[in-house]
Amino acid sequence: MKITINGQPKDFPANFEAPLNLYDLLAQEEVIGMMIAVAHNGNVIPKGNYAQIFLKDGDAIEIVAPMQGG
Amino acid sequence: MSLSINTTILQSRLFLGTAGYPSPDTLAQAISAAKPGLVTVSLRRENKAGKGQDFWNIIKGFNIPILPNTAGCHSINEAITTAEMAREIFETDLIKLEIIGDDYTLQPDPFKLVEAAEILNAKGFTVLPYMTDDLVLAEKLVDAGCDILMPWGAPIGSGRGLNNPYALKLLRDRFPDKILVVDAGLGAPSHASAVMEMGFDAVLLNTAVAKAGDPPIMAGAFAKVVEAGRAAYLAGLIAPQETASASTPLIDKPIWHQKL
Repeated sequence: MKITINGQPKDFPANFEAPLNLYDLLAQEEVIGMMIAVAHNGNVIPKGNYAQIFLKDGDAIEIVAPMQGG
Repeated sequence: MSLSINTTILQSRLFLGTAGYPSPDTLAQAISAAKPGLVTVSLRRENKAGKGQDFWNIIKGFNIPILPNTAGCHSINEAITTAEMAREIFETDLIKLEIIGDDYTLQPDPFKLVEAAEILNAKGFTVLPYMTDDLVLAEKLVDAGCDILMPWGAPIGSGRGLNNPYALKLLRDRFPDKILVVDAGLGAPSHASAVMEMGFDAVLLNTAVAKAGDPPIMAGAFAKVVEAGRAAYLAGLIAPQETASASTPLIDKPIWHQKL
């Protein structure tokens, strides 16, 4: 299963505990607990709903955090 | 009187950007000196390195309302998704809507701006559009539901000041009930003072402070002139005259009419 995270395609092994949900993916990416916002295929997912979003091959995830801005 | 946006009373009419400072400490000192009404931030991709988290720890400590931006967006969809992510992360409806139309001048795209503003206003955002100083564009943005307008003084980071004071004054005259903020292009405190003397509600700046020789001192200087300029506007400036007008009364001058 191929999922694009912040523009970088990433392969998840076929035997990865399925179905993979967004919370598990964020945990694997080690960003749970950070000040972040997450979009799944362009849709912003509220913090409390990560575990309800199940991922499939070809999905795109954006993970963002506050940064300096003018 | 303090400036309010929605129900939030702002502590200053100076809004300060957080980008481009020589160090995180300098940024913190500049915010301390400016005591801004809003601080602007952006959103960028995050990973396990957590590079955004240290920055956020600095900003949140000040307890100043956050104005997230959509900087770097070139499309309506990008801007809307960024705004929604900003609302999710900062729990604010405020969004500085920035859609770039020209990469050389960073001039905002007026057509996409209006369309995106209409969509975001319908979604319950309080949209602060970064715009040129065009009067018709301002009217379209107001029609799209914007109660706040942020015309540029000059291109972002240019430090040129007010390229078109006439256009800015026209906006102030034509939209007396809207919150008008000059955003971008200011270089010197005198530019900010001129903006406030014109009756603008606030100024937003970043580079003029961040790239100054001593950012915290410059931040303090801008804070003072924004306050002074506002007071001058409220006090009422005198109208310029073509001829001199003696300020000292001449009646009872002791050597009056004495022949030389």
